Amino acid sequence: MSIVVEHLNFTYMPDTPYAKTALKDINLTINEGELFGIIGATGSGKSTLIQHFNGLIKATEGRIKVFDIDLSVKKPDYKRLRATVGLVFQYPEYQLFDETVKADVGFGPRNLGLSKDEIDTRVREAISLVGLNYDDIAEKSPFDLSGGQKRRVAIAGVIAMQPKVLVLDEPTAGLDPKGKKDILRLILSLRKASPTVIIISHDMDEIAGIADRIAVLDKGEVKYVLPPKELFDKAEELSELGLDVPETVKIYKELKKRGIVLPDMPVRKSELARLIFERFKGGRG
Amino acid sequence: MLNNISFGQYYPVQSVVHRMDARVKILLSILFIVAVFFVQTYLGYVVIFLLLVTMIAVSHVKLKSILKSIKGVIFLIVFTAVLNLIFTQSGNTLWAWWIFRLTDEGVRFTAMMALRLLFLVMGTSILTLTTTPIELTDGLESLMTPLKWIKFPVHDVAVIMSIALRFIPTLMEETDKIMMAQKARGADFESGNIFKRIKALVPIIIPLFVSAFRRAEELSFAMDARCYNSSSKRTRYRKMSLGFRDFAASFVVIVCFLAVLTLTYGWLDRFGLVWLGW
Amino acid sequence: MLRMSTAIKLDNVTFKYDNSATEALKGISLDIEEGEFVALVGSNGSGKSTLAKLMNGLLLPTTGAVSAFGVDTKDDKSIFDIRKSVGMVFQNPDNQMIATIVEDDIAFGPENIGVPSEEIGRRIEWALKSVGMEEFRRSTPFKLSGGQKQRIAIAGVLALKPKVLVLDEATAMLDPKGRREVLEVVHELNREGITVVHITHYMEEALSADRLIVLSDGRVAMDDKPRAIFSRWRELDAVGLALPTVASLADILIEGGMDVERAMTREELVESLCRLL
Repeated sequence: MSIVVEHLNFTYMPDTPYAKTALKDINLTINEGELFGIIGATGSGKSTLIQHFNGLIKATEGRIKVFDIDLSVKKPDYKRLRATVGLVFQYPEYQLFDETVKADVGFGPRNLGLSKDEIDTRVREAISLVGLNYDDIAEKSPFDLSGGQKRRVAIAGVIAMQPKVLVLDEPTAGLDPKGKKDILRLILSLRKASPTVIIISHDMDEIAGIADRIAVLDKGEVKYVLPPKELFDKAEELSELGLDVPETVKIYKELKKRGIVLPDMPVRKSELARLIFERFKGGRG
Repeated sequence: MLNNISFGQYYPVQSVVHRMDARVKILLSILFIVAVFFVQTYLGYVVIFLLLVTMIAVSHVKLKSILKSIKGVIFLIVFTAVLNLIFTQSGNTLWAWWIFRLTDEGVRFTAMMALRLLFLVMGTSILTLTTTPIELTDGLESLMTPLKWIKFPVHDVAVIMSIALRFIPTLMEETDKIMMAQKARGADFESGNIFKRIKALVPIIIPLFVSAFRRAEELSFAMDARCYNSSSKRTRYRKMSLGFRDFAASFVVIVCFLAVLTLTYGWLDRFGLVWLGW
Repeated sequence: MLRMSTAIKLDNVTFKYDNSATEALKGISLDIEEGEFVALVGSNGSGKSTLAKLMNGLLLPTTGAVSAFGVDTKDDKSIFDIRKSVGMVFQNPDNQMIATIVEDDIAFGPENIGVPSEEIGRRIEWALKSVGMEEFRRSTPFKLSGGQKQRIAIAGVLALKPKVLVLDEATAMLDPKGRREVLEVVHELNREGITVVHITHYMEEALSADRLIVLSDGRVAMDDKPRAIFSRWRELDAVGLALPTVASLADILIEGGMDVERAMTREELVESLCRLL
């Protein structure tokens, strides 16, 4: 089961003088269980694209099928769709509103029309899945929490819907390095419950280390969909699009230019260190 | 989605009216509105109509923009027109059906009233189409200066107006985002009775308010950091100066205003000029 | 020749918010010299934003004293002079602009301090040029990108002709392109003589600073040249910060027994590796 996008087009305010094409002929398949990254400069259409996946935006042309839900019919099953695809927006803490953390996290399940007991169970589960202690936090006002806690509560609010697909728009935006590491670790841990994860990011370093495949968007078009290592081979093309490759890849390429060719292109720091050590020891032999 | 609302937005083009002093435009608009309220005679309506048409022509504003501003109130106008037609019972019957009775007085009265509303909307939209928000707030601030004598915080109010205008598109965008985020969690803003729909707005209004307060706090730090104060030592970057066009326009509008009053109150009778006031 | 006088001085400053039980700053003493480019880093909760607001008197110390060019921030009568010399740009690009047109927003500062109209016009032009945004003079803020908005915010502060520019996490909400734009502008301003205090949690941005101050739990944990501090990565890790990739990699290799230079830039590291491999 997967998310299949075929010839997707989206135009804002079509048939008016203000019409603006945000997405052009997008073709993508995101496989179940994948961690799929989406990268692109601001304005490339990344956020617009993911809002199609849970039906917030309807395509002007083209087909989307999310698992077995066809979105190109006149009245797609939005209720089931939004329970299948959980979308976490950028700075999700700005959407917190309810009196207690418990109530806010329960908003999604309540909208699904679940029984009180089921809602309760889901809320407990979601809060603990995001690494917070239910008893400490359930009765607190979401506005009394720290920034990092607020973000976790907001994410819990989406997980409580038990989506099979988790889509996150810049989940580490505005966080300090430790916060970024924590959130990424959290996302990876959530894959057990929501195996398919789609992440939009600006940070190549961040996404390169965890994604199975990465799609590169530029001005509303998909330029590449490749596993990280293959993608980083195209460093010049990426830089022309205003995008960067991870620092480790840059180091690898610099060394290559100077005649030191490491056997593999490393994405993670630890990988690069290992390759350099091996080369060091090997060369001395 | 929410970007389509036009507040009689500024139409950037060069014209005499655009270059007029904002304070004069505001005062003349007020005078125009008062004239519309006073007009009673057919000739009076003609005077106002001619004045309006002249102003539109001179301001080089596209007729489409003016008509767009009417679009917003057309429902109101039609609604009140229908009500007036139905409930004005004085005068001779023109047409009767069931319990409804249309009289000539009714038709006359309704037509006059509808015209007035149209004139009002069109006249004020010329103001907003030819004056940028900042010119408007500067102009209002300047006009309110005498209020300083009663310790009214004129400058603060002007800054508040400017900030409000500046944040309108930003807040609209934020409302959109919050709505999308809550929809993603299954919120439904479309279905249900009126009570349900209002309740459904809570997850939007609260985050908006919280966000607005946060913005206000951050803004106040930023303004303090740039030495914001209300003291009289302040200067103004944009100079407002009166020119010939301001005097000319004022002359024209004041004459029209007096003409309308004259016609309405039949002052011409006194001068034996009855034939003018039919 | 730069006059090396003290721009900002903090003397044993503590600060406690009214609604908090603990002190946000627990005894900070610092001298920021004129012309310096200081990077101030710390994880969330280290007190860096509080420290920023003390520098121009937006907050007053609970105990201790803060002075700018010799003037105490507690001095009510001189607070505008202080804010004229110590300009500040904040984290959220949106929540600093008050006008509907860029030009009018930049005029805000000079208007507040009584600069005559013609001079304001000149300052607007100069400020926009300094941040590379001249063509946006009549734009509306709503249509600008994050990096552009922050540059306008900087221009708005420059119009007051400050001697110090404090950036309170001004790059935290920007994308990589926006961060680059802002940093370029700020470095250029520093080259022209403006003292810069750049508060950030991105260690990469600290690389090009003259001096790096590490804040942790309301206290100054380290205060030295960036290079010197990067060799103490264990301490950085302990306060919740991480070395930039290159420095971290160099550290890993050194710990593993390779005689690599303590590189801070990619070029240095590659150079050093080439000599070894």
